[in-house]
Amino acid sequence: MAGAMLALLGGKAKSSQKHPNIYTPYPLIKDFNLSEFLISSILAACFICSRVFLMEFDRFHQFGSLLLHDDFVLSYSGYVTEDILEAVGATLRQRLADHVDSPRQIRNVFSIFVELMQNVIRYGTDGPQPENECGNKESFGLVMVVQKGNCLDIMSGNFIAQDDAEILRERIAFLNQKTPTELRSLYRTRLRQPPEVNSKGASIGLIEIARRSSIPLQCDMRPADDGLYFFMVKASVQGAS
Amino acid sequence: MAELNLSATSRTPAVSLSKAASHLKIEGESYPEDVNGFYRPIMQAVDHYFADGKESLTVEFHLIYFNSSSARALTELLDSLEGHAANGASITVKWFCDHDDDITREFAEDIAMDMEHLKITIADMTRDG
Repeated sequence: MAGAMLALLGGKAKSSQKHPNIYTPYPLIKDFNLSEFLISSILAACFICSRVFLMEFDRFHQFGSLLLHDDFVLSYSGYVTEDILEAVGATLRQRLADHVDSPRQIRNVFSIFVELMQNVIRYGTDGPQPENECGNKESFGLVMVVQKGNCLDIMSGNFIAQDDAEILRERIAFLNQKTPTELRSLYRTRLRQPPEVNSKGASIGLIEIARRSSIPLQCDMRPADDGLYFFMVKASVQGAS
Repeated sequence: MAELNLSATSRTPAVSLSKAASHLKIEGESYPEDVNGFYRPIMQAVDHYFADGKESLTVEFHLIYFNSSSARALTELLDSLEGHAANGASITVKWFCDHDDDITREFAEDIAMDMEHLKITIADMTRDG
């Protein structure tokens, strides 16, 4: 598992404090958006995939200051296995307890996290990561949880083929049109259907994410090498109002 | 084997099936690495329980969290219990939900609507600490 980097970073960033020593080439961006996630995730992916593990101080500084801008709860980038899901999940729970009080919010964020990570385990075997001794690639992806006021945003990213990316985008758009009652009904139907990898409908895991998210699921993708796309999904869970 | 006593792990619930007490209890969290590997033996134990001539069973579910693949396996287990109930067994199911976990409550309500022969009730889970 050479190259797997456990980047468990978190803690409260005091947004009211200025850090005079931090040089940021980008203007201070208050709202965490998909392009920022992309920048930090591509940086992280580059760091992991490069054979030579040299992290210049400039790049480290850019990476670090991006993380200090927002209230990061946790971020992980690297190989995603069931063991890692368990370990990162346990850390996430502790971090969530530090950040928010609502058990409902914590439960929903953790649920979404588990479903997203399991999707990466199942579908994240493409990408720039090297093959193992058997000529296979281990699943690889990124997950990030950020606090935004009352809300907790959960984002994940992994590399998939263009066709699969289009299918996933359509499925998310399909789910976003459904009311909570319709999502409940869809979930209930899918419970008794066997899990087919290439089935036309949305997977039960994706429906679960859509139900637990306070906002419609957002997604975006960026072309990567070898005809792959880096596909990103974002969910968000509101705290008690 | 018509009895079971599995301790909880960080990803799987405690499971106890007792012929003497006519009771099945599933308690904890469920997001196992191998969902079928975990739930299949439970269904087999329940089949053996009724094959041994037992006619009644009370079932309790105290699940703090379960993922979507566990939901599928739990549905399969409940369908199997429904089958035994349709064959004449008297089976009551009590599903404990956290009062603010509407999604789990909806799961239990939908199960209750789907089952004709199981006697299903939904109760509030008391939160520890």
